[in-house]
Amino acid sequence: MRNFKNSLLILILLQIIIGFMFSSCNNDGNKEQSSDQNKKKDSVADDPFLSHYPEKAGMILLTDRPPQLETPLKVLRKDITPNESFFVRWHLSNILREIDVDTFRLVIDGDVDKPLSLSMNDLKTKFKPCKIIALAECAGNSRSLFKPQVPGSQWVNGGMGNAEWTGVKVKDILEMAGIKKNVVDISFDGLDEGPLPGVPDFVKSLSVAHAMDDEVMIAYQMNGKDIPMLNGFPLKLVVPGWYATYWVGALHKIEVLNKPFDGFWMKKAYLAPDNPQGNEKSDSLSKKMVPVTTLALHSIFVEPEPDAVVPSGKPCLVEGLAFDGGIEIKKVELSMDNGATWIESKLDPEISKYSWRRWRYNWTPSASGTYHLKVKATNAAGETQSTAQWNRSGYGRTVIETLDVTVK
Amino acid sequence: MKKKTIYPAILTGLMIIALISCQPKEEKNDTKADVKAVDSNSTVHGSIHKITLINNEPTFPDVEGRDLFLNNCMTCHTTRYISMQPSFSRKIWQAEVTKMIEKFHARIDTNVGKKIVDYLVRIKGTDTAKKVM
Repeated sequence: MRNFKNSLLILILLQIIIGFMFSSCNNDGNKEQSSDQNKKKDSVADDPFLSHYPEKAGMILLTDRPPQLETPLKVLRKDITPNESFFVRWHLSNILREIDVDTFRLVIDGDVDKPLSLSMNDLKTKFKPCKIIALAECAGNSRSLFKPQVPGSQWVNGGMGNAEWTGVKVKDILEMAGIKKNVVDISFDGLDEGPLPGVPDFVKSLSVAHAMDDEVMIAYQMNGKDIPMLNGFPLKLVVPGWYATYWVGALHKIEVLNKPFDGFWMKKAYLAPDNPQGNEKSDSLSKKMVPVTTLALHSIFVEPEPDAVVPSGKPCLVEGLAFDGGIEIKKVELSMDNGATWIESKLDPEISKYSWRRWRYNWTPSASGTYHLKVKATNAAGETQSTAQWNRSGYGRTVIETLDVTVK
Repeated sequence: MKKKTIYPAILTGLMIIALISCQPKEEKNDTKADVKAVDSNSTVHGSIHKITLINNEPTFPDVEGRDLFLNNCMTCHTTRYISMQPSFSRKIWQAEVTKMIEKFHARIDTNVGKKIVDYLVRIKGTDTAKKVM
């Protein structure tokens, strides 16, 4: 009887241990996170630079569920943004965390002669690979700079990155599937999902003419490597010259439609006032709103950093980036006196049609004091930046930026 | 004696089954050498690519409405969506909460929505003289 009691006791202990093992090996991370929330609150929570993001380093944290990470200003000194520093932007909290690339299929369906289900291997072997260096910029990049401020992800200027994309032209895929004559739009769906059934799935669309041009592509590589999971592994739609909201990550489904696509993320979100510079007034909001499309003409300072102190009488490199939707940056002018007079900066050679263009100027401030530097780009179509711009969502920033520099 | 040992034997058997069944599936056929760690939160395991995300919620002022705010807003997203915002007018906060209910179908009834707006105005409002956050 004593033996029996002893062995029962041991068994109960064993069961408790096994219970713990069982719970830990079934844990997908989420449950642990919510119960640990209170404990971890004050540790890493308020550190703006977090390094624990997979395949990422030194990013600025905006949000962590879903992840939105900004590229630090110093990384914008590089012409090609490294994968580990490339900005991250998801809309729905259930983003892709695990995938078997052998069983993954890209589905092409809808108004086609032959629906397709393509493996990663199919994409890499059955189509001619294409490459492009193109700038991805979030439509809300630089949103935090709008005055008055607007709600939304509070990006400074690091909601963008320039990378070389390798993949397959959407045109080639659609030609293989054979699109029917009455097709209007093509929709692109990612594997990310909303946390509740009612949350609209993230699906974007392009007109058939746009999707069939020679540039829209599906990338399977970014800067010669796998696309980081946080940037849309295994496949990412690349829409050169258009805002990154169209660059659907974890792309898994293309639907060919014989009527205009009317999904939430085209009809209700990412809308800007229907005028060339996306302008409206806070006391009389625009009635006609249209989806954001091509990158607005914009230029930013990369160096010196905001509120820098530079020595007087010595040369100081002023450097930055200018970009648009692919028209071509022709001229970048600088003002050292708050817009009274302008001088032309020197442009670096063009990297590619859809890349940003770097500009530089060697400035030797002769007297100490506070300087308000301004930068203004002009493109090949003769468009230039505006002195004032505002819209309720902070999209398509094109306003002339100011950098305050102290000379001592 | 035989009767006394039969129960522990059954229990042990059950536990062995439990132990086997709780082994993570992917590791069944692979050895650890096949797992390529890209970094501490990212692995490539044969054809399986996997990342782990950590979520650390910021601290919010413990004033009236905090629990309603946390319980409802955190269903869908981190509260960093709020902590990263500047201060806004009641009108803007109301529009944000309405957007969550009407466009994103958050299951928040009107009364609770009002209290959440009050909380947001309390912690990040431009209408109140005293700001808590």
